[in-house]
Amino acid sequence: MTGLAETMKEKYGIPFIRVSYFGIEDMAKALYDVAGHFKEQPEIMEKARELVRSEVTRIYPELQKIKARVCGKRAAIYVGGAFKAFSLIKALRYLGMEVVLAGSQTGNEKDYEILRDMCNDGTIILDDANPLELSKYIIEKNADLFIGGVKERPIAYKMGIGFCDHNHERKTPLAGFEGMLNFAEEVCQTVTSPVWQFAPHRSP
Amino acid sequence: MLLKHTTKEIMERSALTVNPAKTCQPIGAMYAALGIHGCLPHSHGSQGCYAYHRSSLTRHYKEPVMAATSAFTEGSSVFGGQANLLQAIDNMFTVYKPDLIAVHTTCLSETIGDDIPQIVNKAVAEGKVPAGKYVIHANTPSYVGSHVTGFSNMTKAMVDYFAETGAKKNKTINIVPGYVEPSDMEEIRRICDAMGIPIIMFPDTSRVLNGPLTGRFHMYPAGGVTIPELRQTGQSMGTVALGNLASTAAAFALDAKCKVPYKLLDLPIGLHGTDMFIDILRNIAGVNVPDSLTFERGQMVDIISDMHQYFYGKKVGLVGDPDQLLALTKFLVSLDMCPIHIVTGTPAGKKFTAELREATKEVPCDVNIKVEGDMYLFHQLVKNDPVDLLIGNSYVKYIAKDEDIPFIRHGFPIFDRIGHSYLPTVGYRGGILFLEKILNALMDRQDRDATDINMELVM
Ligand code: SF4
Repeated sequence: MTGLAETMKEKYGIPFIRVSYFGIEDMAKALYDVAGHFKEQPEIMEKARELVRSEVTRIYPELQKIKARVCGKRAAIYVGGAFKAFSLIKALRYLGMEVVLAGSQTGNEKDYEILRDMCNDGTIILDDANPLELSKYIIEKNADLFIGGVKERPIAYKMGIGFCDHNHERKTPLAGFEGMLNFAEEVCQTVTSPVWQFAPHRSP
Repeated sequence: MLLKHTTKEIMERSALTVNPAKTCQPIGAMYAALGIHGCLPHSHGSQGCYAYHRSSLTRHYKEPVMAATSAFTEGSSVFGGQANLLQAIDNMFTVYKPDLIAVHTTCLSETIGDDIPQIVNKAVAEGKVPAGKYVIHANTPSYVGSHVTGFSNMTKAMVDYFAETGAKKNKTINIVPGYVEPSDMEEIRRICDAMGIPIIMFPDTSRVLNGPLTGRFHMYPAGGVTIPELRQTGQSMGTVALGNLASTAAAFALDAKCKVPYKLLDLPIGLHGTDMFIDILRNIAGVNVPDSLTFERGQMVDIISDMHQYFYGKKVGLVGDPDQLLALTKFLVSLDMCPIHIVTGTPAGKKFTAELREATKEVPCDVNIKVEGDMYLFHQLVKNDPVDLLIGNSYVKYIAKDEDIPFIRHGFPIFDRIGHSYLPTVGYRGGILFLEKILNALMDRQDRDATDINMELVM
């Protein structure tokens, strides 16, 4: 997407900003950034503020309930682009979860710098990892949730941990404020599922 | 109505497939390769093919599906993928440590004309294949055949690469199970065990793609035929090949290479199909059929007799793979049902069409058979002559919904239900399960449509 935006800027002089629609923080920031671009129309910023306020107020109570249930759970993230990982980390933090592993397939030097800054010292950062490495660290870090692609879902389940996927074919959106609620619900459902107590390494 | 543009009127089409009733060769090759223990399937082509094949298998089985790719770039697409494959072989043996790598090609590498054996020889010469490890291959150009062809080619490769002639014959029987589910392979083994016949089944995806939750991710699950077993296939006293399209090539190759005679049978689906299978096993091994199997058979006959009035005259539309279609059609006809639309996307040949014709000749309706048809045509046939039941893969659900027809999922892929990897269709037990599915579908419909007055409690 950034490539397209860059080309449009080059060719037609159309400016662009890089935003993420994922998670409350980034979604709100996206709206403010866009509104901020139209400096001569301050009413846009007004409306953006209004929108963020009403949306957040709407989903806040539900999110708090979910937060109480997932707080302290440990997540591992391995996605295609690093930019997505940034948003996911923020969203999981918002829910009080700890990110114990973060990685991407295509991140560059700069992305990993940001990633390292965002994460705790103990967080494992992986670039272009293979399933063996992922499973090793997920077990080692005792993660409760894995966020990855289609083909990783059964790997997570085999290890007896929750999973949430981020693919292009989903019908339930994860973007926007409503999407954050969907995301939180999905995460909560999977990490708190009673099935994991039957996973061999988890049973007492 | 997702398929609202499907017209009732059928026009002759010669160069256009709409919603194919098949998928491409490498999927079948990848599936077969997963039925060898410790095998890492490798897709020689670009990443997109591999991602699609892996995703399809992952979603069908809801199990980890491990495979690798040569990840062609523009360069390899023009100059060939030798360098990629050499490096991939090196990486795989270093990082993933498989016992063997099963390379299959894709449209792209076939069009370029990459010579896989030559590249593998080079890898061996360069010391990239550790001692005691193997690289096998099958050519799987997707513009020929379908996933069934790919499965057949990879299964034959197992014979070509491993089967060894021995000084004497062993008491084992080889079973080439055909393109069936892991649950079916498990059931075939159970039947052979019950008869006390030692078998070598290849491929065998049971316990690979239907394994338990263990709390650990295993790159190479417990199941699969082993390399020593594959070697010994050449010393078995006979081979039973199930399903012409998927299994004959391997069985024939084994006969030619090691003089192991083979018998070709339909997939053991339904009463008669299973009888034939057990009878052949009994003959080759010289054993008696154990009471336990006779008992199961009796149970299946019992269910059919209890419920025969519900099967009678029900029209069925089937779409899927040739070997499955033939066996299922015979099964349905034996239940007094009327399979009237039978479509496969796999080019299975005139002989197959003739066999289907023969199988349906007693059916008291017009029977449409289209070998190399697509889902679009299948839907049109159903529109023109509605049926009581549809049988096919997950894509048939759109037709079932639009036409409001009861539907049983069978075949590949099934992305939206579970069961196929755990519960068999073959054998008497599989037959009972399939009967239950048919009855549930038909009776749920009868209940749904019943008026208050004619709602039956006892069925
Ligand atoms: S049809 Fe050919 S190009 Fe398409 S996914 Fe299959 S192998 Fe790849």
